[in-house]
Amino acid sequence: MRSSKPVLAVLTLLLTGLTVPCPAVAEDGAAAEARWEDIRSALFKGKTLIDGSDVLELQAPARAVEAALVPVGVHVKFPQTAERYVTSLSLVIDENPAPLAAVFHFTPDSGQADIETRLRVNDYTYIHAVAETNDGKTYVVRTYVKAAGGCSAPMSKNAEAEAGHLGEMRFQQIGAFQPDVPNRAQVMIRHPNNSGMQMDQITRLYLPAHYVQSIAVTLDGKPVLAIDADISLSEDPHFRFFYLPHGPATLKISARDNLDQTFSGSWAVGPAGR
Amino acid sequence: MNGKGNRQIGRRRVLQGLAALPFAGIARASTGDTPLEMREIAPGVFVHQAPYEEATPANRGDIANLGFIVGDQAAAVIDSGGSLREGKALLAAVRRVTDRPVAYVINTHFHPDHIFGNAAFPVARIVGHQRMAAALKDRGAYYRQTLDRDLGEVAAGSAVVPPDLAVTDSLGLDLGNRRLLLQAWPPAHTDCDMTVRDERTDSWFLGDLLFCRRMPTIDGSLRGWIARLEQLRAIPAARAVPGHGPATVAWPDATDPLLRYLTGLSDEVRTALKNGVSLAEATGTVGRDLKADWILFETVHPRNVAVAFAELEWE
Ligand SMILES: [Zn+2]
Repeated sequence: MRSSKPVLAVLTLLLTGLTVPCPAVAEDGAAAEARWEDIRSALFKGKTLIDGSDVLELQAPARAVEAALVPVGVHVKFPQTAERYVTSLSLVIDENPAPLAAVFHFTPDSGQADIETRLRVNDYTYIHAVAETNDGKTYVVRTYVKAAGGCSAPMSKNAEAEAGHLGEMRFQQIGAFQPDVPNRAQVMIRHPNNSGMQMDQITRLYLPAHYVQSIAVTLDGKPVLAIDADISLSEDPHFRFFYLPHGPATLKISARDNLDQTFSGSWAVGPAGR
Repeated sequence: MNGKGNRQIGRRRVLQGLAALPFAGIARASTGDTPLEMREIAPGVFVHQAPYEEATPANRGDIANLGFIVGDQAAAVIDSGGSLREGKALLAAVRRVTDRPVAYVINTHFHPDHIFGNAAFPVARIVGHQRMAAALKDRGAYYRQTLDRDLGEVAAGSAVVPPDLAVTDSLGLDLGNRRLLLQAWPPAHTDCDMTVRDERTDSWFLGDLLFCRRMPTIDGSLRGWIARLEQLRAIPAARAVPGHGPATVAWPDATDPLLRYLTGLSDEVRTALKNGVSLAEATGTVGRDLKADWILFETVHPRNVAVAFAELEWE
């Protein structure tokens, strides 16, 4: 259920050949449309993108308070059922150097294909959410976000203090556990998620990229969510998602970064006090 | 002091050589730049009080308080300003007071408004927290780019000049019958905060560990900052100089509003986290009652919430 990682890498290569965008360009409607056209034809070649405003809601701040930590959410206006469900959801930050931030893969066991995460936004940009459904349709919605420097400016955390916690995971149930309905959960992974775009002023070399590439969530062994990720995810990648339990179960999360380090954790989910 | 002590001795030898220079009275060499307005808050201790603003071409990045201290042999600058032009105006202000060499430029931390004047002092040792050179490696390029965006042509000539004298724990600098005590602290406002105490007048430069009136920005550790302020409050001083605020304030009373804001913020963020509030909701709703009479609250507070959120959610 995971699309292969090379797709992300190829897109990065394709787009680094484009001119470096600046806010003035991004605010120019024609340039922004041309940029999206390049991305769309590279990423969703041969697919008809349907206006998704009836089925999708993309939530992002019009102006980010911190470009390295922009909360972005997608709400799908129908539940996941065996008959109709979202198979994948792509988040694209048009003006970022690696525009495809993440692809989320869902199953009917996801319950609800909503996602919330935090992204680095490098420039004034459109963000596109593209959802594919099991009937072969592809829907798109977009919103405009004003932010700058999210990829090249490091976050404020003290790297030395963080280093000892690499890969640490936290899981949190949001709201009370209820069987047979979609339950909301949150997972966070301690990881610098270095973009590889911060330049050392003295050597003029870029600091090496080090980021989480894939995450898989299972419920009693059954896939609930899989994520292909890239450098646009904020430091300490963070997700809110749904899962559909039919009683107490074990939720397992495993992650792998671009240096092939793997991290995992598992949690018993069920009624409080169990 | 360890390895750095040796370099320190080297500098002292240089200063001894300079001690023979005549003290030039009131007529000073002019640098051609309009001197920055300074106030002598204690004998030989000068402070420039910056406006409570964000960096613009009109203020040429002059938004942080700067200072200099004059000893019998040399002067030391404490923070150099937000652009080369402001740094030159600070040097001109030093030259109005003394012809003694500026032996040290002490950066209380790495933020642009405190370091972009460093290039105006090409022969001074640049003194900073031991982590600061590394921090500027990561951030310098971005800061320089942002300076162009904020100041336009006024940014011309400004450069990232990292420290060449690192302070690991504490360091004494002798300006000639005048000792400065530099202390490097764990992460608080940033992860490179340093304070400077003029032992002769007991004046304490807190850098951005102390904000008064102008909204504080968190770029290190909220928990660390609160802990540090509580520790520093117990240490007496005749007067304090905040990184942003009046030229001089009463110590430790001047920390009260800042501590109220920081502890209020951490309490409210913890409550939000406990209630499962998301980051997106939190930035618009948490800590609205902490506004008090802070200037630039709306500009700065939502980001502080986001940064506090990202720190405290790992508790
Ligand atoms: Zn600062």
